[in-house]
Amino acid sequence: MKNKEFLPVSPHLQIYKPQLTSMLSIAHRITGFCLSLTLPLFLVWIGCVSVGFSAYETLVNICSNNIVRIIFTLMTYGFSYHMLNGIRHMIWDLGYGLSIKFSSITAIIIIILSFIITLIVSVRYIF
Amino acid sequence: MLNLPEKTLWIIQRLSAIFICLFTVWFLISINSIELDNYYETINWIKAKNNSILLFIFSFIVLLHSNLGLTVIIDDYVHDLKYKKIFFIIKNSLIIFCISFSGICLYLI
Repeated sequence: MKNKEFLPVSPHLQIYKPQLTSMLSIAHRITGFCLSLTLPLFLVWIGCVSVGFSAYETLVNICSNNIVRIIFTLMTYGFSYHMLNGIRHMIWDLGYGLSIKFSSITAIIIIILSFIITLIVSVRYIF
Repeated sequence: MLNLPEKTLWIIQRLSAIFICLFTVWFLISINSIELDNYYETINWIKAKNNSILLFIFSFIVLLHSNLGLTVIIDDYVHDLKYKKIFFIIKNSLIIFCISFSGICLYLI
């Protein structure tokens, strides 16, 4: 788009009455932004593997800290939520499930499913 | 960074999301058989088959998806053109650095 700078900007979030659907939409952006900030951790992991045994051992020791484990668990919840909500958005993009009923039901399903995925992944890989 | 029409970027965002879902499933199933705490198991897993190439593609797609998402957020919430340009420069530089870093590290492994 040539005149991108003249596009109307997004309305301020605080003028809306909070609803489940709008909250999930905002949460999608927030989780996406937060996950972007945590991407360097993935690179740190690859970096430590390439450096060698001692660097990797240091990383493993840091990751065994409970605070780090909690951060990883929150990241897992953010990732699973962002992924499931993204699938929901793609279903909408295809023109399906645009009713309020579908949106509300899938919103609750996503919150619960994200929790279950986080629980499974955390038990297997984090704790 | 990607000077493409908005429609194309929108499609790339969706396609990259689909690939991330697939790669995540591959990644979780693949590392299920190893202990990530063990350095030698981890490095052998990365070296095995085409795992390092797949990991690079995975990190590239994740960074691409992240870049497109951050572009939308900056476009929507940063209204000052001067700050918007600064944020874009910082974001693009970091993304290029991250892609290069993962490529170099996986090549060295």
